[in-house]
Amino acid sequence: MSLGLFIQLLVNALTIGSIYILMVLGLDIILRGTKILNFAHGQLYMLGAYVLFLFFQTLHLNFALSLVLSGASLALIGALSYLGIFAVLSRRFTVSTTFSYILLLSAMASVGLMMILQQGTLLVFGTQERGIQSPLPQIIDVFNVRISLMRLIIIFLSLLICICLYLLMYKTTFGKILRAVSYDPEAVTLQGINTSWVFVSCFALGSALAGLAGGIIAPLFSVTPSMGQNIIFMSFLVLLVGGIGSYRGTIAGGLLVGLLLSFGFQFMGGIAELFVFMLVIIILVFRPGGLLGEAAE
Amino acid sequence: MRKIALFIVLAITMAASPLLVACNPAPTTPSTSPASTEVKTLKVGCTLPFTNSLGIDTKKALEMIVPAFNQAGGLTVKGQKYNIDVIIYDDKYTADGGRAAVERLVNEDKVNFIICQVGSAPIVAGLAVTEPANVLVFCGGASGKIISPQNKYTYGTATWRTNLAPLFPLLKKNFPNAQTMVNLSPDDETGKALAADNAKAAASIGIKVLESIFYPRDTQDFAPFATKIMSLKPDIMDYPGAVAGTQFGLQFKALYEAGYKGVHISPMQPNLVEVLAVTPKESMENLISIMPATDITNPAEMAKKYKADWVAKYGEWSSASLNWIPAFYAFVEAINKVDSVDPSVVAAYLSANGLQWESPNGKGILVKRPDLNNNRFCDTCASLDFGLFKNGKYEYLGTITAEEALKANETAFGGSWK
Amino acid sequence: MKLPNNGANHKTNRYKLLAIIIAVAALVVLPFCIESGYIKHLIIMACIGTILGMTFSMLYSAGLITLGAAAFYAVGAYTSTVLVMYAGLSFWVALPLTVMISAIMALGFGALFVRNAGVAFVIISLIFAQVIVIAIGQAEFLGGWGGIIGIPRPDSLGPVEFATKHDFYYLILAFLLLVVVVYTALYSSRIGRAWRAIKLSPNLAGTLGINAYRYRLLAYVIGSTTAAVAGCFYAHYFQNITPGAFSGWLSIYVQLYAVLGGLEFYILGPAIGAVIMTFVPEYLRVVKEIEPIITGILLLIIILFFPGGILGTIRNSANVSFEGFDARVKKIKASLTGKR
Repeated sequence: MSLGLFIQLLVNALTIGSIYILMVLGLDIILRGTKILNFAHGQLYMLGAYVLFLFFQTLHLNFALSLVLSGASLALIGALSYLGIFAVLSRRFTVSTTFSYILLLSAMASVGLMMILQQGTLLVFGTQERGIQSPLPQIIDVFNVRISLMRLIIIFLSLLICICLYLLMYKTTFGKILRAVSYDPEAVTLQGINTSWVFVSCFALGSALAGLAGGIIAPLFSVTPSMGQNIIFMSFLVLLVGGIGSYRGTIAGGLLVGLLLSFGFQFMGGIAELFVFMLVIIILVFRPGGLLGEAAE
Repeated sequence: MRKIALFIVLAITMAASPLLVACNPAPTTPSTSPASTEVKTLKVGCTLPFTNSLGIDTKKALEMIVPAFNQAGGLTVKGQKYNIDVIIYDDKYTADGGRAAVERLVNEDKVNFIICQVGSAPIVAGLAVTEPANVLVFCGGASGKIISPQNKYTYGTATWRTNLAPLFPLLKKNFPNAQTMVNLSPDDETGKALAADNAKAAASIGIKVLESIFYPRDTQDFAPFATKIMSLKPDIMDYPGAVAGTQFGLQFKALYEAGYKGVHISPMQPNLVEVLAVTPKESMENLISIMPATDITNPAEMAKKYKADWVAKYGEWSSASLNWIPAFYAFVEAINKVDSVDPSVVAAYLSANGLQWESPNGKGILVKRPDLNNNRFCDTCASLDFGLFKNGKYEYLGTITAEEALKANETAFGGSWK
Repeated sequence: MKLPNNGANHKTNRYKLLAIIIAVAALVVLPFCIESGYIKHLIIMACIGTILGMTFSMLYSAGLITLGAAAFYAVGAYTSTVLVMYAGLSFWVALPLTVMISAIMALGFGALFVRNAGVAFVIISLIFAQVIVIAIGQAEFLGGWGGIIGIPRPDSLGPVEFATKHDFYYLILAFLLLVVVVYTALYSSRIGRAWRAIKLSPNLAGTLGINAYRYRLLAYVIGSTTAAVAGCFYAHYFQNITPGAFSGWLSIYVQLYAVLGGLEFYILGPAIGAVIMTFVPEYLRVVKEIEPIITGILLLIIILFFPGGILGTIRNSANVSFEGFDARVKKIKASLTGKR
């Protein structure tokens, strides 16, 4: 394998991997903070792309601004969904409610949300598939290695978002409360902190990440009503590989799956996807908690 | 108390739902009185996916042409006038959804004809109902199972299976130096079958297929495939079985970014609005593909009228329905030709004698498929209009008549198709 | 959850028996009351849904949430198809073989999967269902993505020829009743009690000497095998199968059945849920494009405002009225005895 091919495959892997990472960080924050396995996450990702389409393509705003707006809109949508659905639901749970019951009902509620968002988007935006003209269509051609500038920007932006998220979670009081809630909400309540707004912000933050992922990828891919249904399975898979509740694990998992898919398609063809699934199951058999997460009951 | 009241309402609705479904207006049984002056209604079924533009556009098309057809006098069979009533259900593009919709059409609405279905999965799932019930089906769909020898009442009126071979002589004429080819197809039944057919057709004209590459159906990131294709260095790229929307555009974009400069051929009609939304014009240079019959330099009267009616009714023109709507015209032609509304009589005639029809998409003829061991007229060859993308413009290249298409297929796959 | 076999109240049990007999009788005569083949098809699909929903409930009773019901549904459908079409076996031979093969497969995979409970198991089961679908799609001898058509009907059993929906209905009804009987027996046995203990608290169950892993594995194997039987029926009823019909979304619908009907009702809950989820979207065909939105809103309303699902709500309101009724009966009795 030539060095050129290697670099090309690496860039492909990093692009797709960084989208998975953003998706899964959002899923993970929601899952740990609010105990919701969010099936509507793919639809939030899709909405992020549509909102970006609206701001960037229809209203002709600046790309960076559109991206921030799409993250912010999704945070709003997420917060409203949480307040409208999951906050009502969680009032029913008491200390003695079994974990599996909470998990199941929250997941089912998110399936309801998913159906509404999916068909709602289809009705509002129509069935037509849309695309966003890349704001940076240039191609970098060095020693016959051709790399689209947009891909590099996507990798850079994802990295930036990851760093911001890290600073938010580990360097601010807000982040500390968020993390504390994911370990023991009761203890946080005892500290005199109102946990209900923390749950809302967890869901909003997770939704915003999904929206950003959708928005970032929109100029590279297309904006279609079905884009959310396909990415959710792969995101769940990355979540497991990385390990639930591990920030670094998620990043490692996203990169691993991206690399496997990129190099797999080159050398194995279409069967690569199946191979990745198999590999993940094998990893999980030997490391039930994922690569870097702790085994959780 | 409120909760209980709400619940009771809900429970009654739920409990009543099977009954309500059952209590649809009873099907009007055709009376046997001969040739009365009153106009009868002929129910025709259709299932479409309401979640993608293929289904929605075809639904719009049927809602446009059928009332106009009835207004113009409708069908006349043995002196009896019939108005066509098309019943359209959502098949969700899935096997289970298609089966439920077809069960409803056949058992509840008692239709004897089903037309214009789009997706292979719902069509194939419905065959287990329509075939034993002797329901005549004129459908789109690319699956070879639609024209399997065990079916007696099903006709494929889309050209997916027969438009590969006619493309290659045209390619040879315009790009005589192109020698090697790579197929890029979705990893599904259609993609696999068409890629194999395509390789056969290409070989019959002396083009070497280097490799057939399959991508998972919902792929959006084509960069890995483009990287691989570039390492194979083909002269021609072919996309059998690809979906005509943005996914097609993403393939061009990825190849363009990887530096591909050769010829593209595609045996289908790209939705240019969607394709150009994701990829720059330069990436589509040297693409030969099927052009909508409405958009060629001198379109036929029927095609012109279809487009004008569409624009008058819905505003923005969309050509997606052209591939599926010939089923309606084939159905009308078949009824007129056989002069019967009995599906068994019509099917017996068609399977033995074939059929020709004119639609906005051009002329179509039923053909046999000896290469698939089916010696009944079951598949369709149609006239094909081709366009070439040159210097940023999509221009009309030429037309291949239905008869020429038939001949090209016979050369590529063997056997007598007439 | 009240145990059905506490035996304290013979009268209640007698009523229960009567209710069961009436229900079975109603199910047996049902097809004679319905003319439309379409409604019969929906009822058959609802029966399949019920069986799948009950497998979900069984795993849930042991504290496992599975999103992989479709996995063994697909395994059953394809195993039986291969045995009948390629090996030339009769349906009635293929059926027990399918059960055996899928039980062995479930044991093998389950031994790996069940080690992780909680969220990890949910996701693994979902991914496994996807793996099965993709693997079948890639396997040429299983027909690839295009699936297999022309699967023969079950061979005739004496005078029953399986030519009409009638016969298929009785076949699936027989499967359904068999599953109900076996599951009811399991739930009221030591095994069922162990499952409930594990669901309540795996650690506590451990201290009582219950091996959570083994009992959960047992639930997984039984559930998967049942789903395989449903798949076996599906293949021969539909007469054509495609991998797409077994996608991960199907599994998500299956758990809706259980949640809608009422999670505490392991048998009746999925039945009610499946009937509703089969018929309501069909009824909503009238509203066409907005059908999924209405279905989604209905689902949210039930989850948010009717804890315990439909049956749970009925029981709660019934309990209230029964209490009132009992009180009144006592009063009248008291007044009568007082007069005497």
